[in-house]
Amino acid sequence: MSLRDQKSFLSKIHPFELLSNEQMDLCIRHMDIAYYPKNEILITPEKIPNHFFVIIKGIVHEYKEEEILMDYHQQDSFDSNSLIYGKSKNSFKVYEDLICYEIEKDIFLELIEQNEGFKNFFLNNLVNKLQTLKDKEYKSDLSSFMIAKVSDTILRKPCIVETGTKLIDAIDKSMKYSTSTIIVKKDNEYGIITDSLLKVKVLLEGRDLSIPVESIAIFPLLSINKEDYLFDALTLLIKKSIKRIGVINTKGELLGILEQIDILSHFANHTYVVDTKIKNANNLEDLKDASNELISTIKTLNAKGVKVNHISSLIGQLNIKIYRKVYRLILPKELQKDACFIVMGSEGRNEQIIKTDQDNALVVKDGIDVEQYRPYMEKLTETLIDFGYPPCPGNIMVSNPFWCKTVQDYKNETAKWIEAPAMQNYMDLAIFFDSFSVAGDKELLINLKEDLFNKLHDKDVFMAYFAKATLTFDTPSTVANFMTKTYYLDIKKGGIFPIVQGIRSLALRERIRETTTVKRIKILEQKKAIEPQMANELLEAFDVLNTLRLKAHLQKLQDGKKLNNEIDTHTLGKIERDLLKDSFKIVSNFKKFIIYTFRIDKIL
Amino acid sequence: MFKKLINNLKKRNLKDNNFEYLFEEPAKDEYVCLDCETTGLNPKKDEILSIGAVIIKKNKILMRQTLNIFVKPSRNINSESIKIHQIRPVDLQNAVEPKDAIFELLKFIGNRPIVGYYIKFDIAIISKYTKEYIGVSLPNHQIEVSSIYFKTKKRSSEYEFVDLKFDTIMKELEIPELGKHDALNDAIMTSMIFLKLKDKAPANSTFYTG
Repeated sequence: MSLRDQKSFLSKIHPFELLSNEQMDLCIRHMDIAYYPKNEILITPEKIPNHFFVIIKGIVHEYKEEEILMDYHQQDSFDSNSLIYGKSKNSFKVYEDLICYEIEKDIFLELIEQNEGFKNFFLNNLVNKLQTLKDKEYKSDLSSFMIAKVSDTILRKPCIVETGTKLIDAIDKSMKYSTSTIIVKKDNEYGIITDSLLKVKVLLEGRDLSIPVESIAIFPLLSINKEDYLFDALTLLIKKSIKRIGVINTKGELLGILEQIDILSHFANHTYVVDTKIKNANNLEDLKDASNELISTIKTLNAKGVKVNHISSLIGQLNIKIYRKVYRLILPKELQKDACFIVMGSEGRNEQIIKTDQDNALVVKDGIDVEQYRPYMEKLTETLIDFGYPPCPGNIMVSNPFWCKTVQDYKNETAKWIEAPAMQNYMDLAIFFDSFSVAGDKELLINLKEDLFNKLHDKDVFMAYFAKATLTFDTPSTVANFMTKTYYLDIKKGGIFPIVQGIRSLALRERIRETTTVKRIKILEQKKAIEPQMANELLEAFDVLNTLRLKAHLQKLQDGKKLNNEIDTHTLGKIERDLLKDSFKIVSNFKKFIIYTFRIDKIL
Repeated sequence: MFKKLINNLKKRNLKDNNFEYLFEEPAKDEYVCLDCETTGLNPKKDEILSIGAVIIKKNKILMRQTLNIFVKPSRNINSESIKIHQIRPVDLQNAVEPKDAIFELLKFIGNRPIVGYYIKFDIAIISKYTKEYIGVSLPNHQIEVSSIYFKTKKRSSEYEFVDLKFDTIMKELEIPELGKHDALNDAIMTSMIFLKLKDKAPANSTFYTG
């Protein structure tokens, strides 16, 4: 390709777009195109090449001894480490016929010296690299920032008056609509009178209030279709320096008025709206309506680019409010204070964004008759299912007598789990350890957790088995093969679960009461149970994996497909693929750390 | 042997001794790949508009020393041919005199074997110019990529049709389409075809002998 084409090809590859024009020219003047057939070995610890590779077409695998660490595809580049440090621990081998650019080593190093952004990308540790990639993702993905439609906002009902109406009558009508905007209808056209217009045209000019509305109204009223993007509406407002526009349907009928403040608050206040609805609900029916709005809230927040960690805590808060309200609406008041309603597992960790199942239980004060709670607990489970919280396949729900008993009975149960563990017991313990009290007397749960910590003191072998679950599933080392039609990865098994379980094991050992994985990681770092770098890497990887999962979930909801944790790597963009690969790398390292920390190799 | 003899005969016609290097034994594992855009398809009548060329060394296309020259035509380009090669008069503003272009090209290719797609045509039209300027046609060894492709293509019988269209070969060999078609881009894409094929079949004959 001619120089111009090379430039456009390269500038599409991160971080080459950071190069200045001169730097790009320098780069292009010092690179060749090379061809390597399958199985050709490009880099080994003994053979460090004199150039940096950028793949035009083909696949390269990076090996550590026999194990594949990474796969590189079109637009990927490698291996900066070999060039910067002059050595490589790993080998690179062509997996599928390779056509690539080769940039001269000296020039590559010179560019790193010359360009700060370029340098940061190659020199930084994984966290910074992930951050750089993510910033770029958000920047390049501006369109998703405001994919909300005009119709997604709450429209203000317009106060419409016919031409010929006296101004004073129109103002009177607008007061009843509690709006400061009067719409004047003239045949098939609309005009507008705003407060500031009244000030200027009536008060300042000393006009009478009996004049007809059309004598001061501004025609035409600018409007936008309800199917247009909110972003377009905002753009129009800014462009025309106006504060409000009409919203019309395809027939040109005026549906309402959209104010600048509505648009801005739409993104910030959607959760507020749901919150208020939950608060105001006085019966289960109203509460159900409120809970149904959660999905659209999630979509809005996701579209806005809010970090998935923040979305889950926000949604978690709303869920807790719904649970609490359900508890209060169903349970007689006198029973409420003698029990503690808890959510467990992913709900307890506040990490379930799109509802996939429910794990909940009831802890009853010692000496209180549990039987009187049973009918209400059945109703509670039924109600939650009706609200769209899918039933738990493992029947870990308050309606199950096993998950509705007294404090002492739970203590006996956990003692059994620890003394005679089976796989199911490890699972139950894991779920139970993530419990979080949502309603009733939370002291009951605190008591139970304290008891659990004490029982596990010095139980190293038990802890090793508990932590071993971290290794249950393989973490993929390669992400996609472009030669195959589809490539599905279970992102939960491969990435999310190992982080959750590993962190959970560490948190259990360190007696940490926090239930969310993110907070547990931060506390573990404070307690020096994990290094700051590992903590940062895990936080980033966890965020990437959850974001990709949420994206896939939302897509499946939209397509009306059954929810699972699979993502098709072919639908990922280049940056997402990179983020995923780096995240899996972090997860793999973390697993090694868990094996070492809990001496799992001793029990294998 | 025979080839050497012909080349020696040719060499005698050389008008300018500065170009004797064209007849020397080439370095091993070096090639030059070229492509010309012309005003038409008749080497006798038509003229060169642009030449793109790259040097291939072992498994690499040396992008840092490419050749991409536009040549001043002796008459106006007709609108029919503009549609084909997409070179408009305005593109020829930086064009050089044919003689300068050909001398630059000869310096660039040296004695390396010339690789191309239907290269016979390009050689013929370039030779028209070299004959005029230095007395000889291009003496370089020629390598036809469509011919190598033909040989590597598994066929069920001697008579099976093999599609030798450039785009088909590109697709079959999974060579990425890089940028628009111009002389240099085509030379690079042809080089990629050559690199992918060169170790799979002997690369020393011209497929069509017309």
